[in-house]
Amino acid sequence: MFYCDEKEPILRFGDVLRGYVLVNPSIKDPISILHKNYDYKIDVEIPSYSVVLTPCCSISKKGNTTISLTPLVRIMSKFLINPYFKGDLTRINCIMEPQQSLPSDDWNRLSQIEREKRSKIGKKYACLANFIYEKNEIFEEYTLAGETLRNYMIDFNNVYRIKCNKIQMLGQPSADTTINSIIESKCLQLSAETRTQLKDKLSYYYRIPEEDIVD
Amino acid sequence: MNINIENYENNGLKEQGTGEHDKSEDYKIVFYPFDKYQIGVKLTLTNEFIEITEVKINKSFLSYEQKTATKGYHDVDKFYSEE
Repeated sequence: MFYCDEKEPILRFGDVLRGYVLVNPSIKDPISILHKNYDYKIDVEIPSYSVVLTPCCSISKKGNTTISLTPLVRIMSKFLINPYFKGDLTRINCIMEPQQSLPSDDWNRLSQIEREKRSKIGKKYACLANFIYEKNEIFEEYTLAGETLRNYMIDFNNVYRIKCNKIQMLGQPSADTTINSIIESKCLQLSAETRTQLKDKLSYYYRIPEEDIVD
Repeated sequence: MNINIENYENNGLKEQGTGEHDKSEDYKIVFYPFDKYQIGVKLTLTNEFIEITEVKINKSFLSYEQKTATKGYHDVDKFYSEE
């Protein structure tokens, strides 16, 4: 089961939310002391759905008013070229054999040395920055490479934060019914198993680099 | 023989300090990692076992096995890039 049947009246890691503004700044160059080039722009949009990437315990921390979010976006069409992924897109969320990480044509085109090198790695993650959200009736249907889909994904490279004073009131007894706007923004909650998968993959994404591992 | 009792006692206290203690020069304490714990073992200066002094949580939470388990991934992004 990918999602919970019953949503809890709090925000949790991995929750799908609706109604949160996404601010996306971009710069042409970093602003240096010598060349004060203020060439930047800030795009603002409201994604259909966003996913909470703040750990549950940090959300409920007293006085916390900020959460990290990432927008749910359509999956990359090239995922569908790989039959292993196409069979179940959420396989991308878990570790896999080296041969499963590539379409067989691409695997066969690799040199013998490259195939051996990749085979030695064993079962590991692929597409490290991506986590697929299982299809759900609330998600808008779309067509990709001739396939009708309702799967969406998140990209760990695309995280933003948002502040809302009502977040700190979550989980606390309050007569203020306006707090419900936060709860009402919550559309889906991951099952404990899926939340663990998301936590594991995100942790791996922020893993200790090989050069920093002390033997 | 004249012994200055007051100085003798003071000198003794200076050497001993206060409170319960052992003679530090008689032993050494070595910490050994064991699973998620660190075991403090008291040894003589010739490495003979005296006793276990303490067991504490190893605060370097990742074991060597856990650290090496975080190595490597399938580098396939260029095969799925849409640019």
